[in-house]
Amino acid sequence: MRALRTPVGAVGATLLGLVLLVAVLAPLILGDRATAVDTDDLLAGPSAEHWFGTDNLGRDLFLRTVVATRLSITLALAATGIAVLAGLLLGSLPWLLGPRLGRPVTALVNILVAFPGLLLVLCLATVFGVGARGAVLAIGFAGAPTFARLCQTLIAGVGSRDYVAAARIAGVGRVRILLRHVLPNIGEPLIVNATIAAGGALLAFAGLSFLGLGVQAPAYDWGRLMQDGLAGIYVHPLAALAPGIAVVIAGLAFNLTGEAIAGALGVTPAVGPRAWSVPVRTAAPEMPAPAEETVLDVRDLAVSFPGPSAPATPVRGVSFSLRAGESVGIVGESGSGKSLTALAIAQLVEEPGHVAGGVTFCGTHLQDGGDHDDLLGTSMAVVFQDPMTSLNPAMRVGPQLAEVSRFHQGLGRREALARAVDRLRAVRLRDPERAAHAYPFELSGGMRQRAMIGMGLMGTPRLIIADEPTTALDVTVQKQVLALLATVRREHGTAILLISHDVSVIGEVCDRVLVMYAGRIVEEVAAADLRDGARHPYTRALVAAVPSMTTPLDEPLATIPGQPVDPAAVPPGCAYAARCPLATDQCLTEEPVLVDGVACWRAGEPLPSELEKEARV
Amino acid sequence: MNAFRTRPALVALTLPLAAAGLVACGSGSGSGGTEKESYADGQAFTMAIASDPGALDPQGGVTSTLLQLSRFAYDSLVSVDAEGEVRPQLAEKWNVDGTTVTFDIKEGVTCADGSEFTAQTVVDNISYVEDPKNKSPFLGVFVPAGATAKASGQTVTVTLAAPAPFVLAAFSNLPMVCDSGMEDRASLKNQTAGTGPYVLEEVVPGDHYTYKVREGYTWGPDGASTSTTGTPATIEAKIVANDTTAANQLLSGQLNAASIAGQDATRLDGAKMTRVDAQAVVGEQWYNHNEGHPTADPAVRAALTQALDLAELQKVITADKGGPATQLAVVAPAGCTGSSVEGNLADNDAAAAEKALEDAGWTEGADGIRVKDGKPLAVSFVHDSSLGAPGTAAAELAVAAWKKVGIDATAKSLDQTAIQTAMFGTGDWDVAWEPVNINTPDQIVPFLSGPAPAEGGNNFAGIANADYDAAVKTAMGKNGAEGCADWLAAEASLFQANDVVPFANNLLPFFSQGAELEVVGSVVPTSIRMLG
Amino acid sequence: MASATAAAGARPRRGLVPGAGGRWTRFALRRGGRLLVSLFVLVTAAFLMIHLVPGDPVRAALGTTAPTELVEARRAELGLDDPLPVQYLHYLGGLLHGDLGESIQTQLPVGETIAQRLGATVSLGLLAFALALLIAVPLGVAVAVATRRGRRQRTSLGFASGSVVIGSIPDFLIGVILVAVFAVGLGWLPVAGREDGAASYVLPVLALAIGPAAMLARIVRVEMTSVLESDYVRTARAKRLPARRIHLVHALPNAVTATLTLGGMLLASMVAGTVLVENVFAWPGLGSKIVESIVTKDYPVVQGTVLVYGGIVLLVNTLVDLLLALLDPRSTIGEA
Repeated sequence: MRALRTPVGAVGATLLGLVLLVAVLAPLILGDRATAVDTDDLLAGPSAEHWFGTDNLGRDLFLRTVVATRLSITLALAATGIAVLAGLLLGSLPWLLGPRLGRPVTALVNILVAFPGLLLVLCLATVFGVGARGAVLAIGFAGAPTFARLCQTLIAGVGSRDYVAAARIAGVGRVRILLRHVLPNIGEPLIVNATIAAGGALLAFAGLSFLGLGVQAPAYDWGRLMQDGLAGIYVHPLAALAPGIAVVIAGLAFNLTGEAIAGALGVTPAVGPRAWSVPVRTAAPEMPAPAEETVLDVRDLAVSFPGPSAPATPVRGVSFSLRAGESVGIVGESGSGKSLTALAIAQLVEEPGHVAGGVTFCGTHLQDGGDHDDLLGTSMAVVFQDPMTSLNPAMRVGPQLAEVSRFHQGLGRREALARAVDRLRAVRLRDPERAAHAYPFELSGGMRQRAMIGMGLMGTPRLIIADEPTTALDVTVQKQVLALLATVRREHGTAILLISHDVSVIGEVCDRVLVMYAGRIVEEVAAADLRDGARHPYTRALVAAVPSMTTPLDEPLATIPGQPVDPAAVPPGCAYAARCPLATDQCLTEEPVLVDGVACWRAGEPLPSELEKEARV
Repeated sequence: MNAFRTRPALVALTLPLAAAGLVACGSGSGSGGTEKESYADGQAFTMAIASDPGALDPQGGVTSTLLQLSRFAYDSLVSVDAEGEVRPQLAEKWNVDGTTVTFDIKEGVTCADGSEFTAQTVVDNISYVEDPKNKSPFLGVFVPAGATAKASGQTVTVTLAAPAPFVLAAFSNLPMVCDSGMEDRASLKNQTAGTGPYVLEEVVPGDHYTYKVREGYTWGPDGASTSTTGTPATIEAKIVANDTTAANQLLSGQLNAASIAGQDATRLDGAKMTRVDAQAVVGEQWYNHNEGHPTADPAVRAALTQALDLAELQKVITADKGGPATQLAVVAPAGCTGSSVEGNLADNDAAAAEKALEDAGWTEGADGIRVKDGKPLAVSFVHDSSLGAPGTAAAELAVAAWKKVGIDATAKSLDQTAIQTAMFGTGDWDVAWEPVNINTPDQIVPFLSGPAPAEGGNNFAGIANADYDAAVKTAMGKNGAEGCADWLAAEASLFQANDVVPFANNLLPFFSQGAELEVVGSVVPTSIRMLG
Repeated sequence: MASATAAAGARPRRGLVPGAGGRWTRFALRRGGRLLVSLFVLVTAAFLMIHLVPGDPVRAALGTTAPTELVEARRAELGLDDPLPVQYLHYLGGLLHGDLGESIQTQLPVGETIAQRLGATVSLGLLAFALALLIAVPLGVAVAVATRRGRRQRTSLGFASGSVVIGSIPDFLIGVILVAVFAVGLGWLPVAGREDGAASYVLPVLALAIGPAAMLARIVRVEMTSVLESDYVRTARAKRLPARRIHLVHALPNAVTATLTLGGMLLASMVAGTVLVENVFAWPGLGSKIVESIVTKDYPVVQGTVLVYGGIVLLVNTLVDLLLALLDPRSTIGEA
């Protein structure tokens, strides 16, 4: 339903509603008048009595166009349904049957697609017999190969993704994978194409009627009316154009609605009109002069997005700074705003996201409206979570690295490539020449993440922002990547901002840890003190959720009860209060501020579970 | 695709043998305008043809476009003018005496390659068509089957197997091929070898055929020659399948002439165009007389006829542009004039129709459909899809009228192939609208009498009308138009018995601009005069 | 993934080569083989399709009034009374000698007829295809960039409605309207025909290209929008590359992959479009011939044209696949 809130969706849904209403009601109300014969007034032009003129039997063309809505729409929908279903079946067969049995099916589909649609329709129409039923079957089955091929391509794309591979290795049946993982992921292009097909089916019926193979008298659809009118297009243009316009309107209704639904499913984030205002200061706050060796200074950072009713602000009032060579971690559950904080610092938040507050990088205030691309391109590197998707699949690895030097350091193609190979060597990639010449899919996940880090080393990075850099990797590779980051830090004096939900990773690499909850920093603590010195109940719960060597094996793993806060509806008071075992009335009404490294009214007080444990001991 | 709905509507209405399309009822001469215009020499004349003729062997096909193109490059022994008068062409004199026909070939007639055209060449042509091995569709249609010919000097003597009343009209349709073409038959597919006023110059299949004028041609119909002022230097026949497109090209001056039907004709009427109308039967209702069909019952045929308001049907099927049917052979040059239809068709009388059915044992059933011996009165009604929207509309009207008297008709629009397959093959039809157009009444006899297609005949409807057969026998014994009264009487007996019901003639307009011309069946090449 | 690493390590370290080039060649060979098999199936299907449909082609060719003996003789001559397998073998034998048979209607060799008309249709189809791509790709990309993440809702709505409206008009109607406006009304361009050189191409190409271009632009836009949301585009932005490079070098090739897949099918649908457009513009092509021969059940011509059309489309699809493999080497794997 969210789809209908967009202007496209609203217009589409209104039109579709109107078309369907006409389809249902018109034959009931106007059916008789549309078949009234008047041979004394045949082939008349438009008049007050007959708005669009009359046909070969003197029947009113306006009424006939309106009444024809039902048959036209029914036929188009039926044909599209057949095409999508048959196409889906045929298209998923190769995947279900496996490569050996699937190949003949693929070949068959390729051949069927090669038959020009109209030919297929003509032949099938002759086979199925002339008339509405034959036309529906013909157009439906003629459309099936196109959908089959589309499904094949889409399924092959989705089927090669890691989660599908993982599900297959886990022994999940192919049918189940198809239904659970594959089909939901191809739904959106399928819907977009089905709507186009529904419009196309209307056109195809027009084509069949053109040949006299479509709807037969006395039944009539828009195609028949258009064809009848076309003979006199220069004499009474409306007779042919009116049903043509009806086809266009119905096509518009189908397509716009489909597009809006596709949008709501995630092709484009569905966002309302830009009538929003964010109650945050856009002007940079007064900044205390950062210390000499400060690489990054963040003051009152806030990120907001327009919402359907009120804007959501997933990052609020975040302030911290990094010194050269320092390694700081940001930890928190998913949805806590930590990744968005990283993006905001890297100046990668896109419209309609809105960033407020101040970010100073290497002494440059990044929101002063100037062009900082060269500074950011050479001195700030970003490593993203999924190395599988973060490299351009259609471009060799070397040039992807080389780009940085070509655009920000003025190097030529050859020198830039040489530097890329050198950097790949620097990140300990075996055979860097080969790697530079390879496409990303030819490299393993660990190699790709090294390449990403190598990309950051193309310049002389003062700061590497690593957003969950090891989450998608297996444990041994994780260690190698983390070790690589540590090496880079040591050799280049690069500051590192490491974002992770994994407390143990943070503890391993960082000097200092920022704990985020509901878009705010709730605690700032030295990494060494994380396990035992944390005072915020949330931090302690996070730590407790990680099994350690001392955790008794028979004890169930601790989890944090309750759900994270929806950034669109942050409660007054402490955002964690609802899940906090220590929460008081004050926590529910007054929001604690970060004082002395912690934002909690009851910082440091023992948790009930700890008391219980102690009691047991 | 319009090609198969609008334009060839004309072609389809008329059978190929009848030189469809450009059939004219009257003389097409004159510019139509009152002011006198001057003629210009050396011009190019462009006309539209509805479809590609394919191979150009003039005796290999009978499609209207091929007949038109053949006329440019080939002559016939005689020609028939707009009034139906036989005129000299290759033959300066002729004589018909029972089964013997003689032609005296003109002296000095030459082929395009300079060789002489002789009486022996005529004999060769006739022998070629008569040889079943050559599978010429002219056999039995334009040349009576079983005819033999021999030459002596400049005289050709043709001996017929049986009297043929319209034999001269038949020979006027047979293009004569010169010796070079007779020897190398395959060359005729894309070249011409004739004595005609024009010579094929360029072939672009699917697009156009260009003919160049011949100097010194003097043996045209009634002595026409190409030295006349205004004779075009070239004739280009362009393939334009779509009527609307052809009309646009006429208006923009890209075409000089085209046959255009339907509502586009209305548009051209408003512009400054010369219009010549041709007659053709467009509404013709056939009944399946064969055993096992409800229409085998004369009462049912009578009821089906009486239930219809034929005048209204005529109005709808011709889009209010045509007129009532007159006789079966109306295509120019028509063999007979007059009407065999008037007063011989049953009037619209629903009550009489119901009474006829009631008397024949068809009693009213529960759902309004009549029943006899437990079987409902249901008829399968097929109509030719090339009749277009008017045909479909008229068919709707007919079905509704039959329903009122308790006949359940299921209408099916079939393309020409399908409808002919039904009529000549499967027999899966009770009532059919398929106009059969011919020039002379003898040509349609095999369709109205004699053996069925299964026995090698053409009587697809299984008609057996003793009165018709008797009258035909009398008419066959008379020469040409002398037998017309008998022919009309023969046809009338068919209509009185509701064996076949012609109900509408249409006027097929032929438009021209920038040139004067005559249309008799097709454009007469020597009649074209370019206006300056 | 692990195997790729192992292979990379195992190979001698000479230059930057093997990998992609060799793999592509093997892929091309496999595709070529598949093309041949497909063509054989196409031939068989074309043969069966036409012969299983009822209707007597000879009667249709010779006309209602043709004497029955003549019809019988012609049937026998064409071998139409032979059992289906015998006809099939004859047909295959003929094909091997490049003989597509002879038209029942015109008695002209089918191969010759097709050769004479193919040029007109192919030039029309390719020009229209190229024009559709030239319109659709830049337009789709521009709109995707301008409206991504819910920006410029009005442009988005305008594009969506505009493309649908244009895409929903039957191409013969577009043709008729173009003629009415630019040829009959304004007199700028010829009404029909092919003899006015470049000018005569303008309207038919437009009539054929406009609808598919609108449809294709929609696809490009959807693909481009989703590519713009991808991680690697975010990486490219993190590299602070100029917007043009991000859109054209990083996003476009990935978006075009899906577009090209559809483009192949588009060509097939354009072939159908030529049938109608050729009719409106009196264009001497194959499109009108094919429907004419279907209606008249001229078996040899239908078989020949279906074969040529189907062959062309299969060939184009193969070329598209090969091109895709060059653009996006991932598609060469998983087929070995």
